[in-house]
Amino acid sequence: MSTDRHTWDREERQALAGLEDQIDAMRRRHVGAPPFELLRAARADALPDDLQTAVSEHLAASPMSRTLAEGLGEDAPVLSAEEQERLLARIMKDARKEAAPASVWGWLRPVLVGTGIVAVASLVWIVSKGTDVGEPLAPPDSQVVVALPPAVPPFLLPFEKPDVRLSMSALTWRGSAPSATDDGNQLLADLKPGLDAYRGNDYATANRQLTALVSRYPGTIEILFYQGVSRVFLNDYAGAIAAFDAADAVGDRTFASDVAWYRAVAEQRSGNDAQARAQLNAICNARGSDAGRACTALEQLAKASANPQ
Amino acid sequence: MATFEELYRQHVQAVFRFALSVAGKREVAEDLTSEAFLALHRNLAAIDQSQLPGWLLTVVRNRARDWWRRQMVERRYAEQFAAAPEPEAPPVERWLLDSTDLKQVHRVCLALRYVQGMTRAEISARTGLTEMQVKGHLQYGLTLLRRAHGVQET
Repeated sequence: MSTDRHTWDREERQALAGLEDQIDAMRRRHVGAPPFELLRAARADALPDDLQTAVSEHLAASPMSRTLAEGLGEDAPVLSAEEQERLLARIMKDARKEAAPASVWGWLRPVLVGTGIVAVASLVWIVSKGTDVGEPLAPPDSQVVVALPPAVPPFLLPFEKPDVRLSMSALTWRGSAPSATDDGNQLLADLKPGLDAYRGNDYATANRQLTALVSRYPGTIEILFYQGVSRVFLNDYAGAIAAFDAADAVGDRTFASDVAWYRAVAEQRSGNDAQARAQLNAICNARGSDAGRACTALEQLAKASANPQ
Repeated sequence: MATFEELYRQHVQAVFRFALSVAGKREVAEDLTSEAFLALHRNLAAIDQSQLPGWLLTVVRNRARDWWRRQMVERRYAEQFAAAPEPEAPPVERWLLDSTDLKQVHRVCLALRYVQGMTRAEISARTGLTEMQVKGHLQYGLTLLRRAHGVQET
């Protein structure tokens, strides 16, 4: 997979004439980056844990890799009509195969019952003789359990990633931190790594970076809110609720409705429907811009609890 | 309540695109898509259909993790990747990342060709685009690159 300028065709050599050194420099800067397919899989959180962490850390630091990880957007290929039909036929064939063992069960039953009797008799004989049957078999190294999604609850509050925005107090922050930058806003400089990781969907790093800032900038709403949302993405609902509690205590009206909504999401996912409803009630009754979706969500929760599926 | 076939037709493209993005190979993406719909077929009666296609995407993600785990064993991927590159990027790289004239598909094809050093055939295999499409996107990208950097058209 090594292409350098000597492998360029005539058209490429012409197009890139005078830019060769820059192309070489660009390539050298990214030697050792994860391959494209790993970047794409990491973005969808579809890698095993160790690999996911390693690639996510790289992604958080490399705009080039993040660009690749975004994929082809609207130009991503789709299945042709013919491929769709072929795939459907394959699925139906596999589904029939799965159903088939039930029909041969009648034929197999006497064999299995007979085998079972022999196995039980052997076991009784082994126990009665006190024979050492050896260590239990170790699980195979590569045993993999593939989980299906859990039974889906009747209604789950939508959890969409909120964009990063900054409060007026953060934008105009003039602290007295010793390492204040030239324009005096050290808070924004310190927030950047955590918020960049959040933007890049690297929630573990975002949570770590933001948590490190909590004691230095107590009462900064951006730190607490995006820390909470990152924790929801990490399925750390108790941690998220703690962060949203702290955010609520700051009393910043810009984020109040969002804090309540994501707190409700965390509460519901941790099984505490009553708390989730309390948060939604607060938004619904406040009649702000989020009131509509909160009121609707309350109705859907009520219906779901009346008709559990 | 929709039938299995209706659900298949409604969601297959979204599931396939997601599968292609997590596996990077068309044939693996088809396998993952097939497995997800087979799981749906098996659990059709128990599933709240309003949770689709999320449920199907979760199956794909779980199976993709399994597939990657096997790839890790077979290919022994290094777990340490290069850290962030040096801050000073050449102008061509800044243009590639920031130009608003480029669509995402052009950006990706250019980066795979001139940053990751892939051939057109390799780009085609990893993106699912045809080689002709890859060639077209690269040509268009190079034309814009030439203009942006003041290189005379020939």
